[in-house]
Amino acid sequence: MRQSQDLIPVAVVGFAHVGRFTSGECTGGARHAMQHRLVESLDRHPDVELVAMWADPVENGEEVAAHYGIPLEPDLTAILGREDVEAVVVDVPYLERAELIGNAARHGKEVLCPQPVATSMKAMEELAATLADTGTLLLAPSELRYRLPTARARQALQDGAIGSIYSLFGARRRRLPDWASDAGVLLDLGTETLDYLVWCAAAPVIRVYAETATLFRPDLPVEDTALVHLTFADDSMGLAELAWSLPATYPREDDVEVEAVGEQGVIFVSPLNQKVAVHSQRQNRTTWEDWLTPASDAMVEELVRCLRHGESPQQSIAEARQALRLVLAAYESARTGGPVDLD
Amino acid sequence: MPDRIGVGVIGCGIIAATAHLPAWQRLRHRTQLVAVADVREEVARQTAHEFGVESWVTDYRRLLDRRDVHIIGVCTPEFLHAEQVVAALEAGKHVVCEKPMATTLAEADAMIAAAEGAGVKFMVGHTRRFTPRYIALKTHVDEGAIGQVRLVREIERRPRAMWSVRDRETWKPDGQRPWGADPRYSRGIALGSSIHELDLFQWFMADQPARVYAQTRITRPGGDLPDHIVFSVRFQNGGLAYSDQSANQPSDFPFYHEMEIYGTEGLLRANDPESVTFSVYHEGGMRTPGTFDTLLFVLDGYVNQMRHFLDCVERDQPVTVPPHEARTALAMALAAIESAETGRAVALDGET
Repeated sequence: MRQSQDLIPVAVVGFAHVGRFTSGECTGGARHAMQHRLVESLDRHPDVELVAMWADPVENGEEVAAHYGIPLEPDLTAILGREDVEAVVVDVPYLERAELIGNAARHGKEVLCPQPVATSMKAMEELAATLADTGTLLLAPSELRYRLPTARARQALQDGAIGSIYSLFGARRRRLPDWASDAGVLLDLGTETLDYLVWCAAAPVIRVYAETATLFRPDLPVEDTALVHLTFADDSMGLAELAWSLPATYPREDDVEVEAVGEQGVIFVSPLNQKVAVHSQRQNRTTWEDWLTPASDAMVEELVRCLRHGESPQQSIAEARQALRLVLAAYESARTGGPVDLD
Repeated sequence: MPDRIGVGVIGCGIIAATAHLPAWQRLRHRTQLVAVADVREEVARQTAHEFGVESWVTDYRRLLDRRDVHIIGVCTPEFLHAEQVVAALEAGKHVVCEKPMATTLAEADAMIAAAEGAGVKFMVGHTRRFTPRYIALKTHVDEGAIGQVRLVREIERRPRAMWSVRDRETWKPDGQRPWGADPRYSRGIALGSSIHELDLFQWFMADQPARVYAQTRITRPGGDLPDHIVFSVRFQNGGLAYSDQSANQPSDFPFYHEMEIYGTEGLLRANDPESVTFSVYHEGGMRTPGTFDTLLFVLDGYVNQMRHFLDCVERDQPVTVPPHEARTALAMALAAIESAETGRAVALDGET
């Protein structure tokens, strides 16, 4: 075991919890891919030491904890109270996140928690107040900013590659039934997709119109499809498609597409296209396997830079609040049938 | 029925020259192009000469008088469709009319009534339904490959100067401005292009639309009509459809469609950027020449469409694009225009 004062001791708080909403075919023990990749990235990083892991129930973390040699801690308060933990990486159900992050902050822990970090504006404001009190860090990344192709595409837009932007389109899709969700698709996939479109845009959002529907999994009490129209202050147009629409036979479990149209051309981004197509006789199917550097590596890199080099996180409570504001406006629009104007 | 059915074409502009007339020529074992009409004398004359048509006129009504004309093709701008289609139907001609059907629902209703009254065939040319890629998609849908259709999308990207394929000048009714750029004669991209996607959406969804939300933008410098539109449609069965269509790309840009259909048991995908079969890389960049032919097979679509119409005329069978469906596509397009103007979703009245 490495012992060095330079290493950042990190605890994993939450792993493989089962979402509130499962389709009839989901067998539970949801695989939360991002947290798993974060654990891998943390383990790989030379400046980080994984010192403890908590899950609820704690058995959900057993396999991964054993694999990476991380001691399991069954008590949440105990793990948050540990003096030898500097930062925590959080993955609990969305409804519980704001409170847990606030709790961790009050214990003096820096937090990395991919968005969404809160499900209501009230919880978001309370968390913001807590963080202002504690002065601890919150990194609240949304994945598309940390994937190389989408980050580069945004840079190209900023550099004027296609001139002024006319429209931005993003689609984020996932497969059911082998996965359970904490919330409807708009919060679940919409948070990072809308954040990405806004990040790419040259002007703020002034209007949101959304349609939500349960199209593919009629047994779910939440939306599994959402279309979100954005109007930006410079008259450019945005559209997001969010759906748990990929069939079980789709060669991968999720899908991302981005297009930007501008004065001088079009940018197409298929960030998951950097794949190895595995045509397997043994599995009797084809799958597409990512080999591109995972977004979690970039998130962990940023955590290290923030903790050791005083950098500010690219996305913290303010950015998380902005993304939630859009998601909530979309929910309101879908509910009322009318557009929601933002000032 | 004579050995070959006589066809007269009204409007000798771009769509007649690049699609209708070549399609009829491919069917010359069953049809004969008897006469063409265009208000521009020189265009009418040149078109007749180019396509080996014996007669040309500047007053379309003279076509309707001819006993050797059985089918009329209407290829004029949409603001003339109602008048010309109704006149042709009332003269007892079978009519195949370019999309969009009309510019108002009242016009569409008048056309439908005239067709029913005359007892002849009337079809609006929603040609995508006859184009190989879309036929293939529909076949998979109809065979149940993906279960019930729930979400449809088609993204379209066009170069701004797409129709510069020929040097034929587009008609300028006032002598100054191309009709398509003139708000007195055109409504812009919604009726000009989106009508294709809207018709495809209803065709795949097999349901009635409930409401439309749209945003548009004028991107052409000095332009007065929208050339970029983003819209979504909610269907009565809860299904959704959407499009982002831009007709403002640089001239070397290919003509792309990205169609995806999601069902309860699978998805169908036909996206041009990943389906390009022929591309040229050179110092200036990459081009995909001829996407009209290699990706969209447009002329095949028109030939299939005219062949189908001929079959219906000869065998007295119902056309597969019933006029009320063309009216629904028009209703959605008009709703999109209203939505873009008001910033609100527009409900459709459910009548078709």
